[in-house]
Amino acid sequence: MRRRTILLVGGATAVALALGGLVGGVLAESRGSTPGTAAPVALADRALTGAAASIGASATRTLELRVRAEPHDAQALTELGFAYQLRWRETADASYLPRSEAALRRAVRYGTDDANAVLGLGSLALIRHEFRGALTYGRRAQGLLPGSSRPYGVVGDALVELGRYDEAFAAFDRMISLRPSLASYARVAYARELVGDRTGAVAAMRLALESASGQPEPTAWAHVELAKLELALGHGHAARRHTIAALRVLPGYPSARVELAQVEAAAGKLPAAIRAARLATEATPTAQAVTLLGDLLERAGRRGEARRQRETVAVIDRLLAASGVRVDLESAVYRADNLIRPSETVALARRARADRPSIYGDDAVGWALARAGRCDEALPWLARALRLGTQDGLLLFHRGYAEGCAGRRAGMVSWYARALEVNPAFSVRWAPVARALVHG
Amino acid sequence: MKRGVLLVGLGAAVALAVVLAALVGAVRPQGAAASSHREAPLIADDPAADNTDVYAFVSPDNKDTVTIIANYIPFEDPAGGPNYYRFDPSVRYELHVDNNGDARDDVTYQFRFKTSVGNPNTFLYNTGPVSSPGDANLNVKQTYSVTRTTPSGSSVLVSSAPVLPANIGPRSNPSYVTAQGVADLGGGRKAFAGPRDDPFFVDLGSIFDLAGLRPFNPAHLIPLPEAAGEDGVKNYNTHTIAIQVPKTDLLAAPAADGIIGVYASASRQKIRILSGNGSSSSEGPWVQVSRLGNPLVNEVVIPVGKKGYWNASSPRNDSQFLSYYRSPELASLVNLLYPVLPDTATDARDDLVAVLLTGVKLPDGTPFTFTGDRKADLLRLNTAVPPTASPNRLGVLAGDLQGFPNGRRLGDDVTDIELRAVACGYGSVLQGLLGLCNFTPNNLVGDGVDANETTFAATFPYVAAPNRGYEHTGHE
Repeated sequence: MRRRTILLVGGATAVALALGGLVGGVLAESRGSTPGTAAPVALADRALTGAAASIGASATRTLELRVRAEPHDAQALTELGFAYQLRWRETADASYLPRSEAALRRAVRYGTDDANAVLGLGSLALIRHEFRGALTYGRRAQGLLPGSSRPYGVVGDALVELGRYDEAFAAFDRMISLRPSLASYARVAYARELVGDRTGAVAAMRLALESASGQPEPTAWAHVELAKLELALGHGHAARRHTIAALRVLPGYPSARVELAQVEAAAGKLPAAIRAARLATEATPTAQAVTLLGDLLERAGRRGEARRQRETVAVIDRLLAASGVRVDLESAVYRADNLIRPSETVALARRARADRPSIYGDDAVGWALARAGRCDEALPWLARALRLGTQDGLLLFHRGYAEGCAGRRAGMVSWYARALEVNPAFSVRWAPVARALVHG
Repeated sequence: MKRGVLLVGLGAAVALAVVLAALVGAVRPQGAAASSHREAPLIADDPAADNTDVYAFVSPDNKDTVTIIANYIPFEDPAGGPNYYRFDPSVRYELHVDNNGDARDDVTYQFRFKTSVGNPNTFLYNTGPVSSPGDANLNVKQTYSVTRTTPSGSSVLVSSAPVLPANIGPRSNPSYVTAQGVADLGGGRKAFAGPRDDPFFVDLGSIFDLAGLRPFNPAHLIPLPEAAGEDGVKNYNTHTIAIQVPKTDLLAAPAADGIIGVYASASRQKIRILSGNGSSSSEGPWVQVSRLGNPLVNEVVIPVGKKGYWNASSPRNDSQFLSYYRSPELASLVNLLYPVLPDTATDARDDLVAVLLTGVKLPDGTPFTFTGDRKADLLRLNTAVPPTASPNRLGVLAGDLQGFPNGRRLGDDVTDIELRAVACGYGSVLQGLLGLCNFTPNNLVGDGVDANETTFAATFPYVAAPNRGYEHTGHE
């Protein structure tokens, strides 16, 4: 009974906070104190469950005061624009994004094309999944900051999502030539992951972790990325070590909380996974966290609770959209997973892919078609999604699903086996399905 | 009209504040990027590879040797547990010496570090009192090697030398013995690596605030009551690498004395997404990510948009940055923000070019720190000038020829020296000796912070022991 209450409070808090953020921002500032009140926790768990540590809050306040005193100070406005993006990372409160945009636009205006403000707008466009816009800003920043590695990060990230991989990898290689750093090591790691070199990705991400030099947020971020990579490789203990390390460095770090739930789920500890996911959603109700909790509840046979999580996801998506974040691709995959109005979902996936013609865009269209029963149409898209050789269990599973849907059981089983081989815990929701069909 | 001037002034001041902000790291912008499952930081500080200060001087207690010190990792909070700050094993730390004026490395000392963790299952830095760098209670240990390279080859001077641990508190560190961190390299040569009190001293709080100097507050465009300077680096730690070697180890044989040019750097390894054979490789060439010769050049001479490029470039190519030294933005800023001071020259500053890029000649043509026409931002040291018994913080400006810009000692007040140089307040000594500009009261300006808060040691590595976390909490 108590759990149930918490769950409801959690969902309601999520919505209230997000709305509060949209309206004014006063509520958003107090968010840090809410998670601790949600559930009593043992002292030993403090590091794992405590209120999210905020690096950005005080810096943001200082900058707001600076901007209030000197509203035309382009540098302060730029720093404030970046600080709001950091707050978004820390809190997942999308209302920081329009504020970031306003600050950066003013910085560009008063700073006569201030290079860092342009870069900030590029970074913001990436957060909002406006990849063509991000590319434009990134190119503009390249012109303003010749010889600087930073614009290559924006340019390369945008090109990845636009499916222009050769250009993207060239940008990342150039970026690291100009300055090996956390930012460039991390991008090399992702590129290696995309081309299926997962051990190379771990090596690059370890360099990223070292170059974070113990700074809380970057260190926690790199630990979580390493946890994801290790977990995908089936190294559950290493993944757990990195996740705990992230939470020690930055207590309450949202993505680490979600990753902890993934680690527990991969270890087959469903109640622990649900508890971790619930803490994650109560602290920072990201779509990712709420979706995971829903999937875990579904797997535990708690259908009603799972459905409520799905309703929350829909609300979060609407709030993100209201703050200018395009979530079509994520929504399409989510709706396809849950068979929500399949033909509309296909149209949504096609729109998403038009904005984001990456392998994940191809996968979304293929997956939506397959779930709508249009198996033959789905297959070319799903084959395209695997064109880089990415060792992603979910992509392989989708491919197998379309084979099965087209009536080719042997093909399905062999793709499912590959998916499980690549990552035995590739999805809380679908890995058990694959396993049942491979071993059943 | 007044307002217009003010705005221009503010704009310039802000530019200064930006670079100083980078120095301080007060605000750490973090972009987020890429797809929803991949938000890699766009801009991340790299403190372990951030070279903050370089010092080079004839050793006061051993005048046949030269000491070179380089500091990395700015603004370490002494209470920064549980991980504490440390050298990065993936960074190559180097001290570079040019002894023939071509701004190419003639002697290089490379420091590389290794970290070992005794028990990976604990997050504790130490599990009991630590009495030495090798103590079993110390869970996180670092060691280092020093390799000396000359055009004729490389030799490893020491390997597995211990790095001193963090200075945590009276329970963890009942004693803290600097000598345990000094490696004997033979023949009177020594090396050191470890945490130290940051020897730099400067009133950052006021300089941040529109280039304010508290003792000169009434003279500022936006006047405030006069006040004493406050050391913004007080009680912060840093990580020091240092060597002490016979002068002849650094000079071109057979000279017993001469002028050397010194800079320090940090490099990281470049890796590629794909290697030539289609598999990834973690081996790649080294890329310099930070360098430092003369103090504050990176902060106040090089513009924000060029800083990354400057840090990656080699001093021997510094003529490409000549215009920033000849027409320093700081000079215009001083004129704008201190309208009551006589205006300093804002361009054709060949005096600054000489001090920072080529070294200085005496009127009779004798090189004092001059190493030739090659322009390179190096800290130049004339080893023939013997250590003085009573150093003056203003160095050469006060007639103390062993001080900055003849090398740099720990106690040299480089902020005041450079401020006065930029403001054309070289003082009567240099006005008489070299005919340099000497306006008054420009020759008296300063930030009001004249010395480090902690006394330096009398022996190598001279830099004071690190502030203890127990007493110095709450920096961040």
